[in-house]
Amino acid sequence: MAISDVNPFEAPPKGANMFAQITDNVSRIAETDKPPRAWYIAFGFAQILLIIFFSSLGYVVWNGIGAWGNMMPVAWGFPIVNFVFWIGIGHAGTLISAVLFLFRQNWRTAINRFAEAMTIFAVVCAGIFPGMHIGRPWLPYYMFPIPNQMDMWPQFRSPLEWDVFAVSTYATVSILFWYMGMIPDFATFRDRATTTARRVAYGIVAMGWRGSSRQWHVYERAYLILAALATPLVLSVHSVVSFDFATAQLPGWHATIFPPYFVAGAIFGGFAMVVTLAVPARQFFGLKRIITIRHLELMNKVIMATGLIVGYAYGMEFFIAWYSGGKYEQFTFINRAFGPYAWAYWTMISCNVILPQLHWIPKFRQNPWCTLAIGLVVNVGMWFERFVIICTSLSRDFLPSSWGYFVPTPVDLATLGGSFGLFFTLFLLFCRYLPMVAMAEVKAFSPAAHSHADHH
Amino acid sequence: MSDEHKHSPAQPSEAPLHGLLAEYDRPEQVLAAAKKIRDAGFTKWDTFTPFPVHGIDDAMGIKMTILPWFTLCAGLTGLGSAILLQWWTNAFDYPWLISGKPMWSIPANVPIMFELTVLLSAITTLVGMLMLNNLPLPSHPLDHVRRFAKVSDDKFFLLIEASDPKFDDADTRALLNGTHPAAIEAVFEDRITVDKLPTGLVYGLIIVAVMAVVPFALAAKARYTKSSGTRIHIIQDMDSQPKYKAQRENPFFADNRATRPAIDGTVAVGDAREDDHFYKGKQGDAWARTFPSEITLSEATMDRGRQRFGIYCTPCHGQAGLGDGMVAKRADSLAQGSWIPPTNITQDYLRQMPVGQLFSEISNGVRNMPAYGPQIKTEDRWAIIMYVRALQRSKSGNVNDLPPDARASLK
Amino acid sequence: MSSIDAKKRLSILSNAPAASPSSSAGDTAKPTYWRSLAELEQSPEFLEFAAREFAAPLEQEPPNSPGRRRFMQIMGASMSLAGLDACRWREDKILPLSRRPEGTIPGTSRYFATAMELNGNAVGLYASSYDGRPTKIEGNPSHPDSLGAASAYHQASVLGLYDPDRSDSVVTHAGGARKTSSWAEFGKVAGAALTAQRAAGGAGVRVLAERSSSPTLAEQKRRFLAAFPAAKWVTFEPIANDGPRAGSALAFGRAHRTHYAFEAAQVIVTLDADVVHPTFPAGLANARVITKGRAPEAGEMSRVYAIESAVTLTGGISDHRLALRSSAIKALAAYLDSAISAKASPLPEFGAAQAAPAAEFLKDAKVAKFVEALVGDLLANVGRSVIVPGQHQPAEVHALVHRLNALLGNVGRTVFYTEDTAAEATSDVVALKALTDELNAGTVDTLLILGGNPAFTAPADIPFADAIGKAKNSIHLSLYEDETSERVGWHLPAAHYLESWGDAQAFDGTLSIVQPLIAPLHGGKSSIELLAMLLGNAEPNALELVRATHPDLSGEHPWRKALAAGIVEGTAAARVTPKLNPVPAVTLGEHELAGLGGQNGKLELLFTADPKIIDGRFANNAWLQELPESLTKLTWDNAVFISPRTAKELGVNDADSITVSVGSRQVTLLALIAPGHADGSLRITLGYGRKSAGHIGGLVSENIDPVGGNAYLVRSSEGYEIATGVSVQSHGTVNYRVSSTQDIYTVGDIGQQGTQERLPELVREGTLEEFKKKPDFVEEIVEHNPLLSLWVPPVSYDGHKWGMSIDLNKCIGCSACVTACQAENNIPVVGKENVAKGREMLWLRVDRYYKGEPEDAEVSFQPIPCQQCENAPCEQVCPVGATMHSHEGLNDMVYNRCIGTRYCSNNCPYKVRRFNYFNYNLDTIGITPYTPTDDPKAKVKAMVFNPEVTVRSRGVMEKCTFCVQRIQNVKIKAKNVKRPIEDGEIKTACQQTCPTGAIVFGDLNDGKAEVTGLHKLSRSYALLGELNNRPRVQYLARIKNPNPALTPAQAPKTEQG
Repeated sequence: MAISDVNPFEAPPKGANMFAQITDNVSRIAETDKPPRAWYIAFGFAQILLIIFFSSLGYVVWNGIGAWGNMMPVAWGFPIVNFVFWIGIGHAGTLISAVLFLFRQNWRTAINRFAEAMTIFAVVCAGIFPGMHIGRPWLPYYMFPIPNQMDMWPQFRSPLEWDVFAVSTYATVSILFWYMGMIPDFATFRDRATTTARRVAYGIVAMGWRGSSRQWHVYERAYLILAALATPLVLSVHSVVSFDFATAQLPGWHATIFPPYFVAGAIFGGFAMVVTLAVPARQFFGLKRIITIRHLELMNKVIMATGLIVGYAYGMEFFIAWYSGGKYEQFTFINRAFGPYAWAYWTMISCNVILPQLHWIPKFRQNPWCTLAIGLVVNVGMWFERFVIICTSLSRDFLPSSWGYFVPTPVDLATLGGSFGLFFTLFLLFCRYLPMVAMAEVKAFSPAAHSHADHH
Repeated sequence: MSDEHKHSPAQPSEAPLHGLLAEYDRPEQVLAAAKKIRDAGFTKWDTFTPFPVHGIDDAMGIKMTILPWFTLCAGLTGLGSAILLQWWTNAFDYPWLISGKPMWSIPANVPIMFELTVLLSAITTLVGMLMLNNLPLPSHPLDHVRRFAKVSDDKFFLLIEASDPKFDDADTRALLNGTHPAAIEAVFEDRITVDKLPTGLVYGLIIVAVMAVVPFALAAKARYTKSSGTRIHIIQDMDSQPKYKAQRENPFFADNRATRPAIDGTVAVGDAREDDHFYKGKQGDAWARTFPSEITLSEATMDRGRQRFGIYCTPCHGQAGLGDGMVAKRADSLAQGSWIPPTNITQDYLRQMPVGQLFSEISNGVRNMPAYGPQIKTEDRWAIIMYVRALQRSKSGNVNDLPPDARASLK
Repeated sequence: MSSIDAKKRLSILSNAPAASPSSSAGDTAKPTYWRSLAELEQSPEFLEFAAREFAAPLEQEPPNSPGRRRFMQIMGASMSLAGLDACRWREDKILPLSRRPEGTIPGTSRYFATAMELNGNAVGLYASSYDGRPTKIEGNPSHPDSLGAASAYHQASVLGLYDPDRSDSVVTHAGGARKTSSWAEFGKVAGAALTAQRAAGGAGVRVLAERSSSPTLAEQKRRFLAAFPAAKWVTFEPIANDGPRAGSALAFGRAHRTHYAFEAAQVIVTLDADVVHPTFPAGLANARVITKGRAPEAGEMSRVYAIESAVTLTGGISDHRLALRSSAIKALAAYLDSAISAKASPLPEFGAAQAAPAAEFLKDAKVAKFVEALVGDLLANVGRSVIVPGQHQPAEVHALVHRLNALLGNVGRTVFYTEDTAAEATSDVVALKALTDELNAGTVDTLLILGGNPAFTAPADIPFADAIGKAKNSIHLSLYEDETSERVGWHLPAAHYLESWGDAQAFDGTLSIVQPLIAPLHGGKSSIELLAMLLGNAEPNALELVRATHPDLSGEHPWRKALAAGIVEGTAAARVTPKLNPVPAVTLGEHELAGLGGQNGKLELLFTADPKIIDGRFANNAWLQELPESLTKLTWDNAVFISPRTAKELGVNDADSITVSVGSRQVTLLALIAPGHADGSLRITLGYGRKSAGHIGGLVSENIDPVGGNAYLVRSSEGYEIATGVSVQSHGTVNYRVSSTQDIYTVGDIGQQGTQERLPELVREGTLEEFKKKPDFVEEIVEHNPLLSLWVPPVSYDGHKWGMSIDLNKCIGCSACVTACQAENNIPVVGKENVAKGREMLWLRVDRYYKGEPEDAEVSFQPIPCQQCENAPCEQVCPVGATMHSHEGLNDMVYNRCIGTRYCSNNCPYKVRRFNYFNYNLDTIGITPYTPTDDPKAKVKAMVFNPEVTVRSRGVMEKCTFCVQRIQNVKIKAKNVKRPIEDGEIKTACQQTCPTGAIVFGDLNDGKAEVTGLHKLSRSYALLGELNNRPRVQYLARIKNPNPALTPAQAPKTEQG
């Protein structure tokens, strides 16, 4: 067991009890009745976006999908772009909490909690779009296998049907995993509670956890199993999403490289979102001593690696198009890079492939604000990746007579912007009321927890 | 450390001892203590730590949990149900012809098999963990030990329960002292916490439960009762469409009918009706005495005639055409003065009547017999006449009209 | 919503031109194929266009915004949920007739033969009557001018019948202000006015009527003129051309009609004549006959030469096309006469030949080569050729062509004449001018206008509209309260042709009785009834009047026969062979002799009837407005057609707004650069820009903008058909944009190359020689690996196996099928804004591709219905099984199952699926699902829906079903009597109306079925067959029959691909 391999923490101040330190650092955030002003500003802003989000969705439901820019041949526009974008964001959370756990990457403990939270909130945002983008948003339940008087069932050959199961499973498992991880920390909050309300509230969610070793034993085993389940799941979800495109006949979609390419892209974008959130969080909530520069650097390295994989995929798409000799395939990619949507394509390339290379410079990747900047850039780039895949391919399909040019409407932009409102609202509430760092885990990996090793 | 007692909440004197609790500052202390207690052969004891202390399992001799087996079973169940679901719905219950693909092919169903496997496993794992740890556990005697609150922060505890056979207040306390605890404290059974839920909460739950039943009750009622109101459907989409199906209502017209009467004098394509004999029963100006060429005098036509006669004529004229059909009988029983009884079609003057005239009367009606032109196809009207002729003949015939063998049968 | 933050929008999708490297691409290596000129010309304007966003008018608009007011007019505040009431199903009542008329069965439809008249020529039609309501129009197979075909405007006339904007009451402006009145009231007033006139013999009475061939109307006219001997009867028809009448009078001394027997012609030459267009006399029949003579399997094919200014449908199917100014045709005809007379040594009584004109354009090498080859071909086919002059060409051209046909021995073989007894003495314009002068002179007491809209259609230099008021009593009978109705004392609602008894004659004189399908919805009267009424018959019975006109049909049998057949046999006019007078030497002016092209100020402007709304009479017909025009694919608009070279010379870019000046008169429209258009020539179609058409066509009084621009503003009585000395001024690009279904989105440089590569595979073409050498050449156009399948098909379609064959050699691109499909399948109109966004709903579209150099482009048409793939890509991606395969191989849509994921459309290689982005179907009739309104207007409009087809709601995907309701009807009919379905018994709507029979539907399991045979033909191919979708629709490659003398210009494109 590689326990002493990494020490993610700066040395604690002399004489202080490290466990108490950790507990205090994390709990204070949720216990203070006066969060930093930055929180209020951010929350207000998120609220405005949230209102825009729901009003624009209401507008669409009332008037019809035509309120968006979707048209023929580009029947999928922003809504699906946003869906894939958000689902992608989610992946980093699960990856950090599950995959890194299996690989015993102990530094994950500092960030896994809110990476998981980010996952769940991203999946929430993602889930809304497919439901809203269908022509009759009041009938999504047709996609669930519910016995009905029409004796009609879902059509399980459709990748969209796979999506329904993949995304809902992913959401469920992520929530379970997240909640289970929080049980001991809820107990901590309960025990530190100063008001009855807090004691009762946290008491209920803590389920009477008292840290008995016999319970810890089962708990650890369950955590390991969930991690083991979540790992293939996280790989499967974006593969299934990529099937929406890969199984279609459309040049530009019809590619076997999609599953790995999408998963890599998802992790890429997901980590970018984690750093985007982590940098301000550690700044404003005084977690510098838990989420250290070293964590950021490690994540930047992951971003750089996955960024290179994505870049490789972009190149490979062109190679295959050329190598296959398929006339329509070749046209699609030339058109993608130099056609009317070239501007979107090059935005994508520069954001996803070129700019992240700055992380080769240690000074750069160790600077929180540069990290933040690249994080934002990559998020933009990944959104455009989905836009390019969906819109350029659809706008130039087989028959020239049906070619078109997609133009978003203000409602499109409102729903896209608004979805961030939902995401940040949820995330800010999480920061305010839930244990932002997995205290128990951090303690378990703190040196004080292992000093006995020197005894025998 | 006796002074510790003062700190602990005052227990009702009769409150029995639950156990002895020792507090430690560092994980390795509790680890060492645990080994001691284990070796001392205690069974009903446990340690409490803010995080899973490494090595405590061996120290306490905790056996491997069976949780993974739960998960495995759940996973297999998920896999099986996924296969069954997809086979039943798409290949068996409602087989679909989709893109010319086989009705049932595994590859397309793999993703959902995987997802359901994972889903059921994950849920079972969490639920199983809670069950095995018999959580949720709302109250526990330790809750009344103030120092125990630190268990979720930075302190480590060891509890030996009084119910343990080897437990003896003095000896055990001494044993614990030997483990250099920061403090030792007696834990008393919990007599303060009421072990039943607050009534308010109970009522709340009851109300919620009842409310939850209501929709299902309504649905059930709707299924098994009749209603004069039309179906409720909030978003009706294509349920009722603006088009006008046959004989529907259209308030635009004075008579509210969407069906418009045909314009007098218009003739549909292919409806020239050039053969007066066939369509009017006339030859020149006289009633036709023969059947038109369109009608073949055959058994088939006769059968058709009998059948149509049975449908359209018998209600009034009766099976044998004697004018004694059900309607006539009913009318007689009511003894309405105004009632004109249906004709006995075997009467002589009808036997003499040219088929053309019969055709015209069937087509256009006579006295209070309505016109059957619109209802009965032209050739069928002729077939009926053929059958009527047969009926008439049967009335006037004598035994010699029968073929010899039939005659024999009468004898 | 639509207007906010266009800025933000820009930030997302701006700087496209900068990023798009196509800006660098000059005119290097002009591709042979492109979809529109804008793609070919890499003008900066185009690049802006290529990556532009829509300007204001086309921005996304919420359903109830002004842009959509055209449709939403009658719905009031109906976007609100009408309370709980709306949660329950409406109660549906059944109201049967107490006495069912013989032969009718509720819920089944019957055909009634009738006829629709336009410009004095009737086309016989079948109208299907469902529950006593006309629901669909088809052609009458036994009618000489229909042969079973109907055009788009025939198909759309049923929508016109149920148009809620139709006038529903007598209206008088007598007191100045408009007030509704009654027929009785009108009867009194008119009666008084006329009795006053009787004394003077009706010297103050003038009747202005549309051109009509109705014998009964003629009879009424005779009686009227008998009652008022001094009265005058004026006929004015804006789309009537005087050339044929005057030309035949010039050539034969009397007016004659010319009939062509194209089946006997080996060489067909059209001089600016669109002989296959429905608006051409007997055009529908011509289309059938000409395309019939062009089946390569027969080995022999006729050869069509088209010499014309604008690209016409005839030019589209021609083997050789010469783009030439309309005004130059006269000189060309003169040249042909001189050249052919020189070789043919004409009979003395034919008189002297024309001298070879010293025309500039004839010196042009291309023209000279073309004409030489043409003359050669004509002389090689004496008696087997035919020359057809354009309707709008002047009398001399017609006279010369009569002479030419005589010289070539075509008369009596391919060309026949009948006397035109109905012809007036003067042209309509002259007559209208005289009438206007009389009005202004104040000598007119009572002016009776029977139909038409002369106030709108009168030539610009004849102030008829203002003169109407000068008459003491002015009366106008029309379907709508239009521009003329506003100016008269009395407006009378007219009866639609589907509402009234009447009679009419085909171009060859064949008589048809016009039967009403339904009683007048709005109490309208026909011209016949109105005249009878004015003659003192208070309650005229049109049926009796018609019967009285035809004593030989008096008996019941002949009469019923005539009605049942839709024509009266043997009533065609007798064919005569008039004696040809010598044609005097034609006078050729500067314009006629000028060279090709023409600089600003010396341009010509050609006025033609709009192919969709004709002279504007159908402007309020949404189906026609939204029907993509055959060549430009323009919807909801008209434009100035201009040739690429001339446009460049004038500095006009595509979609620029330009002002066209004819003398002092001007009109401003969008310029549309039309490939193949003749240099120095402009063309505008008439009928647009109406201010009082209705809620669809424009109603200024309710702030509904006119559709398109009014060409009548620049159409004066001199230069009535072809104006010369025209100048153009460009205003550059403006916000206003045309919305067309194929070219609004331009594809840039890369797009062109892509199109160039793939088009030879999509629209496969070859020449007769190629075809004879290698009958299966189409197979080799696409190489692909053998099409293998991972599985055996789960079903063998051994019951029925529906399939379709579309013959690209026959398709003339007239788009009648598109409207037929719209009428049959309750396809909604979406309006200009949504067409611009690519959301048109038409299930069947006709793709149009240009090939060759822009100056003389060739056109190919390709109708694209759902291909009904056996391995349909759309089916496997639908999560709810809303589209799946029937065991007869139909790709079925289950509307009420569809939730609208639109995935099927994404995966359809043909993009034939259409999505209801808004509640189009209900919007267009002005109700919503939430408010089952009883608005009578909505109820009228709703009657146009085909009861046998679902009226789709919002959020549902739809597409061509092979008219599954028609298949089912026939299957049921056959099953009832236990007989097999015969081939040809089931006709899809598009097939039934196709003038050329290019579309054939049937059962592929029936070895003897026509469609089976066509699929077996060597030139039959599946579109994108290499994708292994196994489409059930197959196309027959197009085969041309070029003149060897001209072939170099026609190198088969396969060598250029």
